[in-house]
Amino acid sequence: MKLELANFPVKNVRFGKHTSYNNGILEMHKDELIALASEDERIASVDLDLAFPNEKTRIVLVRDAVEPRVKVSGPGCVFPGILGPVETVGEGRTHRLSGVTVMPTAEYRLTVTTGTGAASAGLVDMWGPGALMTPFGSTINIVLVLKLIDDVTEQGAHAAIQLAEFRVADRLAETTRHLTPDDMEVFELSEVDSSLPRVVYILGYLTAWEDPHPAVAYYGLPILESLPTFIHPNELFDGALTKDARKGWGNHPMTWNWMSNPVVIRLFEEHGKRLNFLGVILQRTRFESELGKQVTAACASQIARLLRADGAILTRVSPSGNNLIEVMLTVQGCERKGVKTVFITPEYGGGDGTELPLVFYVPEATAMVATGSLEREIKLPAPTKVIGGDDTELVILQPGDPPLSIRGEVTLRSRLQMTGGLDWLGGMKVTCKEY
Amino acid sequence: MTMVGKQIGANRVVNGIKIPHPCGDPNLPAGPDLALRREIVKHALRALQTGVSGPTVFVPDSTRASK
Repeated sequence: MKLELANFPVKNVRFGKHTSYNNGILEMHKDELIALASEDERIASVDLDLAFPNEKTRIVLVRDAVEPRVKVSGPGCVFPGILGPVETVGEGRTHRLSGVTVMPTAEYRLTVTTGTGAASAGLVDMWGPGALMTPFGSTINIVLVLKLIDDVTEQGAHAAIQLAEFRVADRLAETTRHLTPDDMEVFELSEVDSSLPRVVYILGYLTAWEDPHPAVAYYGLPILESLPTFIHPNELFDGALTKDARKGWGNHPMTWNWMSNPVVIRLFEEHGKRLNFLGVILQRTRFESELGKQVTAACASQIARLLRADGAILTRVSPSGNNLIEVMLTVQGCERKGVKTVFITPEYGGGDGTELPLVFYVPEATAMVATGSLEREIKLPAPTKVIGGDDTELVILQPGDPPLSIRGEVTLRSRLQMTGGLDWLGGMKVTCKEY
Repeated sequence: MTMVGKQIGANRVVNGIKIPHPCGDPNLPAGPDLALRREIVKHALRALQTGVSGPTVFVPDSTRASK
């Protein structure tokens, strides 16, 4: 399976008479895109706005972000099972508009207002300290400002937001179909020197079966409970993994992150040089019983052994202590089966960094990479422009949280309140100093 | 999550059903659920009367097959 990912970098975005891409300039016909996003009857109103890096712009009620991509040859489409039929993707050629996202914000009347199933939105700052804490502070964000109809269900809200977002992204990427790319990356698990160490990536993803959307879907299928699944990493580049489009907080990776997984990209870079990349084991986490956790850990580590892996890299999503347990048990299972592990995760640590970093661990977890702290307060300066949230002063990002005064200086209780604010997959440039 | 209980150093840890409902099983009809809850609590009371020398897990029989 060979995938060519052709890159069309976007240096500027503006509204114009046509939707087109030309030498790094993405021009958008505003009315056309608003009409496209408005097709869904669950959407009451749509507006479109732009947020550029270094401008004092704050985006609130963010639900997701996605990089525009389109399949130009090979089986299936980008977002199989959602924008088209289910066909195994990851082959042929896909075009991407890099440096830009389609970012839906949405307001609607929640019917689930407590617990993990409640929709929770995020905040993105395009300048200052906030912009450094999320990948979306340095992309040009094409913001879809959505309002949904009053009696929308939670499942309906997810579907409406996601469809509007993906349709607009697809339309924008479509502008490149007949163009020659600036550069192209080729992803293939080719035969390599057999003496190189064999490495598998175990990608842990949390789902909650009782929530309106369990958080992650594979080919559009929301995953309720599942034992580990072995996939080709190229499937991720074509949008095989998607998320609950109601939730834009830092708890989970955005669709953008799932499609540009930095562990996958780095493993491909080293494939045939320092290692032999074997593929990706998707591991659903957050089993509610000890038995479930033990079984998924045994299963994922057994797949790694059957692949004759020498090493495994593990990541997880969500700060839930619950899902940390099966990842740690998987580390243990791998090590006991002769597969060396590295686990990448943010840590807790409390407001001043002195509390327990992880709620559970195993003695076999001897190589871990911390990607930042979950629990530090963040003070953000006042913006000059706010997108999303209408003309309101106060916005509630997550039900149960106190309202935030979004037009002034604001203190976030943690990076979780920022879209893309937590580095689950290890792609950001966070460092720390001992003092 | 008996393994978490042991790791934080709790002397006596009683196995329950699931993280969201340790002391009962909402999938059971009311009668069997009540019996299960009584068994878990009685087991905990017996555990309190048992001498231990470090973190020790007590497993009520009815919780062994819990999903």
